[in-house]
Amino acid sequence: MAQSDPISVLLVEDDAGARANIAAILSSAGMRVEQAEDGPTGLHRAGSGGHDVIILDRMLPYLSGIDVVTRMRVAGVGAPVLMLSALGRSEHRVEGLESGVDDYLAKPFEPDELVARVRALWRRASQRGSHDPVLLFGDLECHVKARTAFRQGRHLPLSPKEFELFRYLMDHAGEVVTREMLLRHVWKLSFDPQTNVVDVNVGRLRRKLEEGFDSPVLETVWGTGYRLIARTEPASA
Amino acid sequence: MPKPGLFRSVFGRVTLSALLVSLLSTLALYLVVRQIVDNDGRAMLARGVDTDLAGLADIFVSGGHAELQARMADRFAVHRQDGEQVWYLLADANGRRMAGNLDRWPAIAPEVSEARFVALPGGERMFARATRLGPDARLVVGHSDHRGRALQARLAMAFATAGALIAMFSLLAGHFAARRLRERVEAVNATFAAVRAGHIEARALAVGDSDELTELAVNTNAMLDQVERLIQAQRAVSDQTAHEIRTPLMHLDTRILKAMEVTQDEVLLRTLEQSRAEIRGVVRLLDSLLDIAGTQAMRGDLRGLAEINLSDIAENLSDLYGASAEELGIGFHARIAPGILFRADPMQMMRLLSNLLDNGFKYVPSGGNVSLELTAGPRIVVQDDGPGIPLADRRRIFERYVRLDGAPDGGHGLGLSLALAIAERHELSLHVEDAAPGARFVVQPEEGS
Repeated sequence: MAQSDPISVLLVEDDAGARANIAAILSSAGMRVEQAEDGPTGLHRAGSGGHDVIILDRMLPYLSGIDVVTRMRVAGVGAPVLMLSALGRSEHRVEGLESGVDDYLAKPFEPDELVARVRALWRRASQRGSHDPVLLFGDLECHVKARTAFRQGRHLPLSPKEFELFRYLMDHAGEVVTREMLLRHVWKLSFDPQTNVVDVNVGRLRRKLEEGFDSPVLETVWGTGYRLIARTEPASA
Repeated sequence: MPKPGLFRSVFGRVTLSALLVSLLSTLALYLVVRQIVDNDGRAMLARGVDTDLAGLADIFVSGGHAELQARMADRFAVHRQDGEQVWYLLADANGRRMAGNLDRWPAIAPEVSEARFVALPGGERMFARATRLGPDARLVVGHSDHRGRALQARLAMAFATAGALIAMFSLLAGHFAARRLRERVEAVNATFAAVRAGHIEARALAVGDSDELTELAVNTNAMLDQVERLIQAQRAVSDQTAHEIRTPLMHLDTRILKAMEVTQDEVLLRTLEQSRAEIRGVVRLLDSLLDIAGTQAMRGDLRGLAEINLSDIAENLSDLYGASAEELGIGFHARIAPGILFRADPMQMMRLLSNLLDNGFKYVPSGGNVSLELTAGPRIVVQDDGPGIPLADRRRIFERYVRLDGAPDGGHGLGLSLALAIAERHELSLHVEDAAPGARFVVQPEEGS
């Protein structure tokens, strides 16, 4: 997605290899990356402001990631924080999220998943306060208050959960949304069930979005998740 | 745990035993004293009776029949101040009365000069001795025992009063001593209760007399310190294990990704993608193992648990799995009672339900049925009409890495172990039974909790 002003990311990670790798992933996704190798440095750089998203490793020398978040919040830094961690158990995820972290990603992760999470955080932060009653993307419409969905002006009969799934995808239209993001935001699950329940539920939604229409709108990003796509030629709307 | 009643409390029992011992010793003392007084009284009576009898016998020998009758009459005329009374009977060889104030010869043998207590027709009692005065005369002399009986009554009264006082004092002393001890033991018990309720930092107060109870408090605290250290060590070890294994795996994954970027070779790409999938498998295995260990360590630890609406969680999951069921051609039925509240970790309860549902869906062929039922208790039943679980395996399937024959690929056989660990953490039990056909997994409160 084209952005005149690239997303600015502060990356705090002590492992040099991982830091270079993450910075490369973000840069190739068109983001501007500033790096720090420990907690105090990260805290200092965050204080100078100007970051859209902060990525923090959980286990940092001198100051743990959770301590850094706490101090940043006290210092008035409002940028959303994505915590990266080698501790991936759901218990740790919950603990991280409760400590004021906005999102939590366990290592190792898919590069696409990292990019998707950073974009989602940035979008949520930049939309804060705006409550569009109608979300529009391509020929899709999501009426948030009325909880109804339309494609090309035709009403789509969605179940309540399907609507929530659709709304989350519309909130992140054009971006990759991972299974973990859907599980967490639509079903409030911070773990991955053993069976492919997400794929099945998304598959049902896809049928409702696409059956009877001539073009696909929900694409599977192999190994990562899903993305709503608009037709290459602008819709008539 | 409810407080034990008076008879079950060790302090109540100690107090009651002290009371019983003091009452029994008072009773024993009373019996001994009464025996001594009885013996002494009897000896005194016997002396009086014997002196009297000897005097009368002398008179009979020296003065004969008439003299004896005259002297006996003299003695009857004396009215004694202390109310004591004398009885005499002079009889012939056949026991017929010749003189005296007794009508009939009492059951005393004169041939052997027998002496004993004899009951009189009026209900009175006398101590009497009989003797033969000659071939056709015999004499019995008896003295009443008013003084001895009065003494015994006073003795009984004195001991009863003393016994009551001793009982009262021992009850009071026992009560206060027991109360002090009970307070100290209860302080230790309260510490354990606090630790169970999640305050691992709670410690017993170990001050005051350096007696066994102080020692108990000190030992309690030492043990709790050790438990706290173990919990921290367990966390540290699992965190470090996760970190030390995940970090190199991430580097490995990055390297594979870089290699994939520079090759167009389809076969190589597939192999590399498989390697990445295996890395993910290792990470999942590690997470599951650490989740099980972490959950088992939290058994009975109620920290961070809040009242949650289990019905909402079950509804949410049945929505998620319902779609899956339709897709797989499996009938899914959810019967969820509304408003079931339970003190639990919500994410873990979701995990428990989800693991049981995953398990059901894995083993049921297309066309089969899976059901989820939630009722008050809470009681959770996940049932399928698949092949079921052989009797021999119904305990084994909850062990780690156990996968039954015919299990679909994927998974490490840890799902049910984690489900069991989660149930037990929340003082719930999990077992499987025969649903004929199929398997029925039942989660319900542990017996006795």
